[in-house]
Amino acid sequence: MKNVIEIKNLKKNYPDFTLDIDKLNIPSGEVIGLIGENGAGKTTLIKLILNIINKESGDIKIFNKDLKDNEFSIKEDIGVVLDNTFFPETLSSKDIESIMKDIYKNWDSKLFHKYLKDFKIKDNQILKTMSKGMRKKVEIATALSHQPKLLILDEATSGLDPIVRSEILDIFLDFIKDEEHTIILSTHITSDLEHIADHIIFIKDGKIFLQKDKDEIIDNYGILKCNIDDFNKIDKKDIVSYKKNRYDYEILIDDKTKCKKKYKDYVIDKISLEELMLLIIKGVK
Amino acid sequence: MIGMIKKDLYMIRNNYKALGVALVIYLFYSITFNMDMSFFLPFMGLMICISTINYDEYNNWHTYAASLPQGRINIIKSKYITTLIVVALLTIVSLISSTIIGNIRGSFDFIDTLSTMFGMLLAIIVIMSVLYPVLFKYGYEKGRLAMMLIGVSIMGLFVLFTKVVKINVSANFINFLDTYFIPLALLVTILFLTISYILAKKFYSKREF
Repeated sequence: MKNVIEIKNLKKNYPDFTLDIDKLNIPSGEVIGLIGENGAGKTTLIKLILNIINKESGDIKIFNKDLKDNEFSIKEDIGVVLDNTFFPETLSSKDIESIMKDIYKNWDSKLFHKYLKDFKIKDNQILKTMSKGMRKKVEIATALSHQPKLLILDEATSGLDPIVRSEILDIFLDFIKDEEHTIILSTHITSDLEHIADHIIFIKDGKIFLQKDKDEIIDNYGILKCNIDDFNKIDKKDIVSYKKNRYDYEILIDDKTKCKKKYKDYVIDKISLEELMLLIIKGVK
Repeated sequence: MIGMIKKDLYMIRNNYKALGVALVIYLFYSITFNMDMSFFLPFMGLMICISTINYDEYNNWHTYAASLPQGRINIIKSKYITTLIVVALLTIVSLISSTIIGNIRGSFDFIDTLSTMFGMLLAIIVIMSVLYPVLFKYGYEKGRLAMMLIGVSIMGLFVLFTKVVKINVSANFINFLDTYFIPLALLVTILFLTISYILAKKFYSKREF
């Protein structure tokens, strides 16, 4: 499998936080879900990939080209939607089209208008008069209208209602049909990732904590629920982390099949990405 | 870079009301009180261009712009070019208005008005050259404080040299300045603008968003 991004020894220091990634390969042709709590380093990683902030050390290769030496040509093939709105709100979608066609070599005006039409957004409507969801749709239409190979979305669906989110996720699924296309989606809405992600990267305290196919996580990880007496009988090697509730324990395990055989009388539930995040972040090791 | 210039011009376009009010004030004072208001419109133009930097920050544009395949140098270049275009256009509007008003009054010296306008244009470019690197290094909010400090420092230096330190300027030097004022002023402005652009590029390329 080809990698769309290859990162080696990447380091970024802030006074109270360090992003430190020894090695990270992001496979192409997939939807990559970037998860982690606030301040874990997701946005820092995205900003480093886009060269918006300066790294202390490390190498970043995108499309098999060094980012430092090929920044402009690489960015021609990347579509970006950031967490905060970023277009000046006095502009209209028509203005944005006029600006972007002079920024991207591959800008496709027809495609942009098609998206606007699909989203029911008028050409001359000023962004200021649009709802948050509509503005996000204009940003997504812009990100998709220069035929990018890689779409980087930082909290692109946050704050949107389920209907708009569902519409947007459908567009992402349509985009990923082309096997040369890749999406990196950083979000707190893990249910969206369960719906569309192929691969999950979990960042914790500035480091890659977990990187696996989503199906592998869903198939192998699980929550073993038991009382305090039963908890003491469990082999500590089988525990990834655990959380003590009022009446029971929730134990994160990473080999459901083995544990089902080993602990036949215990209840082992399927895990959601949200539960996985909570048990890793809030749980005891 | 064309895209970035367009973006700034579209943002400035929305200030047409402020520019209209500025034009009315300019015409009112020029006609009613026969005042020389030649600086007013181009200076308003500079202020509106500076406000686009503030608006860019307010709208998180800088972060997005840094992710585009334009490069940060083009972002800076487009800001300088847009400002020069706007200030030059408003100087031309001022010149045309002054010519019309002067001809109606019947006491009009075109060369004198042209020299004044040209001097004002250069002065505004020098002000822009001092302010822009500060704004691109610190951003608009922090930059405002730095701008005030620079303004106070320049005024302080001016007072120091004119009131406190009595400098004897030779007549020859004054004659030299008088003869070569326009090329000298042009040279100084170009020097300021070049240094300003180099500094702004350097500051902005290191800035993190």
